[in-house]
Amino acid sequence: MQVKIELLGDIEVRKAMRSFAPDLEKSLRKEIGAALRPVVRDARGFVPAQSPLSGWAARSFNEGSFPTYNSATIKSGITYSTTPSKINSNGFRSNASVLNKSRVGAIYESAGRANPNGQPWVGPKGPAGHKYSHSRNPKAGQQFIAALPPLVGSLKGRGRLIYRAWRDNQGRAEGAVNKAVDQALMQFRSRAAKGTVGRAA
Amino acid sequence: MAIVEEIKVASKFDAKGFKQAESAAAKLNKSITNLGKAVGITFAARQIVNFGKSTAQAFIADQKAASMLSNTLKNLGLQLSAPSVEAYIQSLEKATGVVDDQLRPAMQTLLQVTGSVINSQKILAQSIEVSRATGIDLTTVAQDLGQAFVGNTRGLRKYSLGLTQAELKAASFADIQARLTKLFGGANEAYLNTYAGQMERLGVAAGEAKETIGKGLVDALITLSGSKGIDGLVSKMNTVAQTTSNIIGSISRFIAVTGGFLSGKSAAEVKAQVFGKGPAVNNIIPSISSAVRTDQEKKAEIAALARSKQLTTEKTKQLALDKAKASLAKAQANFDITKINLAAALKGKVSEDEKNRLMALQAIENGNGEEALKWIAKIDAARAQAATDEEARQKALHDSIMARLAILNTAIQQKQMALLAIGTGIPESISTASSSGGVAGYSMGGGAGYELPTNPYGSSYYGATGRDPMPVTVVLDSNVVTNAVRSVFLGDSLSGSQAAIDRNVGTFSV
Repeated sequence: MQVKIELLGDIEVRKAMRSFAPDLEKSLRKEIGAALRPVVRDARGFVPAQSPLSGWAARSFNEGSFPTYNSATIKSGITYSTTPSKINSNGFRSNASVLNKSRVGAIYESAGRANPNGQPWVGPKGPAGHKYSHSRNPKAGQQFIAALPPLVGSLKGRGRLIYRAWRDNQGRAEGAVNKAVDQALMQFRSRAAKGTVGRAA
Repeated sequence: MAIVEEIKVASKFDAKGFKQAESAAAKLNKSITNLGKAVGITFAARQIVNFGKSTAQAFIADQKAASMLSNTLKNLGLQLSAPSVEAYIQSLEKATGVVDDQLRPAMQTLLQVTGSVINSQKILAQSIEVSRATGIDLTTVAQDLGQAFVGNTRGLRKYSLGLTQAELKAASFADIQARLTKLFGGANEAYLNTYAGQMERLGVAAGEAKETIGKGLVDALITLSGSKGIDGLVSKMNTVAQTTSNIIGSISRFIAVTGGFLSGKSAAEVKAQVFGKGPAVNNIIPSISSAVRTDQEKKAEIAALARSKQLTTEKTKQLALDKAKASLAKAQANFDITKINLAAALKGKVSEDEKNRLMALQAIENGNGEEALKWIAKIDAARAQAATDEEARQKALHDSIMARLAILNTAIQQKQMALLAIGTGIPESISTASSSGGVAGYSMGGGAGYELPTNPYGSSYYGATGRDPMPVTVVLDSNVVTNAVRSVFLGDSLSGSQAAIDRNVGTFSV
């Protein structure tokens, strides 16, 4: 008995691909990786070896929850993912993503994006919350941002590492990923039409 | 919270959810359109379609509640009483203006608790009064009264019956019912006489008619669809449009329903008229002789009575237990550790003050405040007496010391005179002789029994006779004087120690 299965979107096709054509799925992941790896490499290259502020450098003792600068941590946190994301509130989902996962990396990436002159200063005795600067130095945030390289704008947003690399990539990675996904889907559909797909063990 | 910076790559619109929603909406729209078309064509008005839908829903909800009540009766072994219960609910609905949607769950609750149709009916009627008077919904009131029937009176607090928790606990259900009747009796009638009450009765009647019409509509549709039940009708909803011509046949029944209602017939009469030939719910119940039903009800009543008796017995037992507990507490007071300790202390050797205090404590323990105050007054008096005694003792001690000091002073003066005599060549042996003269340059204190040495040369020798006083210089070694004084001290009747001397003179040696 033949059963007709209608696959509505790319993600469903990719799921089906994983089950019925694992080789295609594997090659798709490989191609996506190949497209995104240069972006990741470039982004890692933008990470300075030394802390841009001497006071942010790693030290021998623990001093609160604000992460100290560590280039290795930042570099290892910059990576890519070929797993499709969850669907967002607007109905979109991504086939792949470039990530800057570490806390210190995210700080370096985005500092000054929301508050170009630093967070509003309230001092050590001011109201609690992560949206305020509790430093004794009222200009701590401003000085911190000033010591970092400028934010670089791309079509995906502004940042200093992955967004800068994405801007420099000039859309080549996105095109390659789209092409890889489309080709893999086409191949899978053609295989399905020929009836050569089978459930993987 | 993890901080992750992320660039989404190759994002695409995922239409799965939207397509599903769209598809579902389209299907729903299609079904409704088909049904609407079918009924709309039949009745030639969309309003009638909407009315038909709402009436069908009302009927379905009503039938569901009736089915649940019927099932409860069946489980209680009272399935034969279902028609009478249903009739009672219908009549109660008309009489009280409370919709059967509320009456049925309340009745179901009461049946579950009491197991008796008669008791449930009585309590339900009373629940309506209480509900009207207090504004609490009928189901809650029925639950509370049902619980009170089995002895759990906790829920009755909210009705402000004017009884303490202990009184509520001790009261029988009959007492509680009497109290409820006294407080809330006639509340429903009074409410129904108001404008709101009359409007509500109208609403109930309209709702009943709606349910009746809804049943007619559903039955008609089932008949038209050729199905055996609502499931079949649902499955054939999509083909209702094709059976439009058959639905036209139901117009007459619908008109009969509405006409019957509008002509003032009761809901039951309309039901009978409409479902006379159809599979009416009441007709499904097998016709069993009333004797059998009565027998079933009797059995249930006997069981309920037995249950009630059992509850009464348990309550009596509980009261007896509570009483015994109170007695035990009273008896335990005899063995109160504090009281025992006080009694034991009083039997021992205690001072008057301690005795007064113990007696006061004992009176406090026994709850005798006046007695305690008496003993406390005695304590105060003893304390005042002790203060007076102490003052007297201090005074006596002071006087004693002063007397001793005076004696000491005299002795010193005697010694000084003796020394003076030594220095001036006056023989000490004459010191005991009486004399009326004085020694120049000396201010002798008047010691008791002391007399100045006698002047062996006559009074003229010391100037009384006009001769100039002869200056006398006495040179004494201080150690000699000190030792002399010391020997006087040690020879006195004191204990003889330096410490005793120091105590008496208020000094201490260093």
